[in-house]
Amino acid sequence: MATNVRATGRDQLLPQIVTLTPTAYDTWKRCPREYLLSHVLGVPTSDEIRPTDHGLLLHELLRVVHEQGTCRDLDHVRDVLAGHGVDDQHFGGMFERHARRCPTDAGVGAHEVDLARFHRMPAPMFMVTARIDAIWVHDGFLDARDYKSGARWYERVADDPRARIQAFVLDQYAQRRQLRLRLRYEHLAAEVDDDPEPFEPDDDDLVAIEEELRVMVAELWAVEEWNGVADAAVCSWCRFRSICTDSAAAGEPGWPVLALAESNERDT
Amino acid sequence: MESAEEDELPRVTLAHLRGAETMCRRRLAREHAGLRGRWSPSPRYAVGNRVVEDARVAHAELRTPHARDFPTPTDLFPEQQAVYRAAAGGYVALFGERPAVAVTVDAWETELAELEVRLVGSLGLALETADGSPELRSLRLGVAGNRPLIDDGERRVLVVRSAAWVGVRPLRLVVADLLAGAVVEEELDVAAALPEALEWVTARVEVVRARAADPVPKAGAECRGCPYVPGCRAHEA
Repeated sequence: MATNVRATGRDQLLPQIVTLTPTAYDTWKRCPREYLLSHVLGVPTSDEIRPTDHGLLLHELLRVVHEQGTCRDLDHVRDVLAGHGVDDQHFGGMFERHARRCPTDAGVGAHEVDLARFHRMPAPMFMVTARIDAIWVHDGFLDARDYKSGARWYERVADDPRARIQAFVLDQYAQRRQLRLRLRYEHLAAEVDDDPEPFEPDDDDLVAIEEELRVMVAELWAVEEWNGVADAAVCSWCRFRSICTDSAAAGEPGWPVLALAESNERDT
Repeated sequence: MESAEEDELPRVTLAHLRGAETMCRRRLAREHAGLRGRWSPSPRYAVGNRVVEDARVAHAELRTPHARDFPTPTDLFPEQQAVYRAAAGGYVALFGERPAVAVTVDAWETELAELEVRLVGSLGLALETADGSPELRSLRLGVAGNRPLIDDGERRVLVVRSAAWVGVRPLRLVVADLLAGAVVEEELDVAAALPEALEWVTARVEVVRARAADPVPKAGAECRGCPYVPGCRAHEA
């Protein structure tokens, strides 16, 4: 029987059913304090790291291109890019690289698919949700794609904590359709030559992932002190680095209202 | 576990009115019926609620707010305290020269007897200025992405919810992001806007009812934080 140790006062902080997402799990692995601020308390970020508009736009373009036609149809792709004001070499190149890997001719697909899977027993309970960029069904595979517009951080998809969450929710989806799961990252930036090795988890992998997540949630319930990693390399990219009590890259929060308040004080 | 107050009308929120067609119908049905499930208060609203409540206390009499009206809430985490201080500073910076007094309006729900529903959600700070004009301050703490501070759906709900209080007076609606320092100010003729707003709410309530009448669950992003997961057939083993 699994034990489920609960730290004092946590009942008021965590919901009865903790939810994990790829981002939340990745955050927990990186820094428990960041997890607390971002995923438990919902503290507004004090520092920006980089604009995410580019990645969001790429995902939207991929969805529209596939829902209204095919990525193999260059005129259609050009129309969609032009419609979004980005018919340029940069986005055109990304779509060329995508089309070489897209199984659109081989099977049926869906984009921006929200999935959820509930773990009931052994305790503690938890819910896992994930948005999958694209799911293709072909050749007996549930071929899930995660489009990446930035640098490559992992040699194998299986090594990315976010992929382990995705695999957990996708597994149930694949099982119900009697398909084999393959999770693949498509790196579309020109500077990334090769994708990481796809993840094709077997039954043992998936049992191990579920236990890994269960242990993580049990750890969450047992946390007494939400200590940050206080590592300058990590903190310098953190969206809470200015206000986090454990920050190794402290600074001034970027909230514009602070300048307004300061200006008003000077005037009076 | 899924208890509701027996004498209460079904509830609708702005989220229901906006997105009934895409919501999980099982969750929608239970929320509409007022079932609590495994609901627990979220710490995500701790800072925002504290700022609003302290501002309300500051406006217990007709005057401007001051920094001293916003004592740092030491029971919150230090990072939440930092947000609170910034937001309180923002409130004083944005409204520090506008005296107002809080009025007693139900801040959380309005009963629409003809529709047989309760319209539930935060109204914001209901105030009256020195000349007796009504002013509604809707306060935000960081608006994600490029979303507007207020949209037509929320404006209609505020019109419906403030109508009895405002009457035929013009309402000044001020929506402020206290961290970004961004403000949208509008003068609303609530009495004139009420029929259209009620028509929209009525039409949307019908959609909510129709969807809730067939409570088929849909597993997805909404399962995050759903208080009705136990017993949901979307999550049967």
